Amino acid sequence: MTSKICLDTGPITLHFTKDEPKEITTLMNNIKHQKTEAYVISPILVEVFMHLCIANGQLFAESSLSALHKNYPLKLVPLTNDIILKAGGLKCQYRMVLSYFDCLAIAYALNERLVLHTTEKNLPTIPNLKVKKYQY
Amino acid sequence: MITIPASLRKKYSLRDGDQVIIVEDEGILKIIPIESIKSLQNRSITTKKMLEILKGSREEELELEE
Repeated sequence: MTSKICLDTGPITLHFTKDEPKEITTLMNNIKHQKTEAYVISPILVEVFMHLCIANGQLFAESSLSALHKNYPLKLVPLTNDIILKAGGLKCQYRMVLSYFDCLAIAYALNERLVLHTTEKNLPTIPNLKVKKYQY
Repeated sequence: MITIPASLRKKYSLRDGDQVIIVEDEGILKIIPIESIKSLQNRSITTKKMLEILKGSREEELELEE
């Protein structure tokens, strides 16, 4: 059976590291082989790009995002009114602890009842949010 | 079909059959070679350093909210 998840910035970014954590390798392999259906809010990829650009330069970030599109059947989710309103509400309520990108991913995970896969350690307790944390 | 000059093919390690994508950027078409994930990982930084970048950018954004 295929599981459905919502992917945050961290796991995608860590996929492009020299010593990629084993858990991330397994996750990405499951996505590649369609054992896991991974939904990604489009702006999350802008944040992934930014991290890879800071780490390794713009060309590296461009190549990585292109390789990501080619190799993994990620389900890119555009911003809808439902997500904008939910994310806006979350940002208003948790503005000191959640980034805009966190809010977008959490909003989608909540609306679609998906488990959010994240590396974020300091997420506040948000009612009904199911989280899989990758802690390093 | 597009022919890329030999000097540029050499400079960017492009070989016959390599895959690229073409993106538009402010009126300029950019050719971006698609590397293997393994090759990108080998050229990247460690997980520890990447986590520091993730943490730093998050802190920068949240500081702006204060």
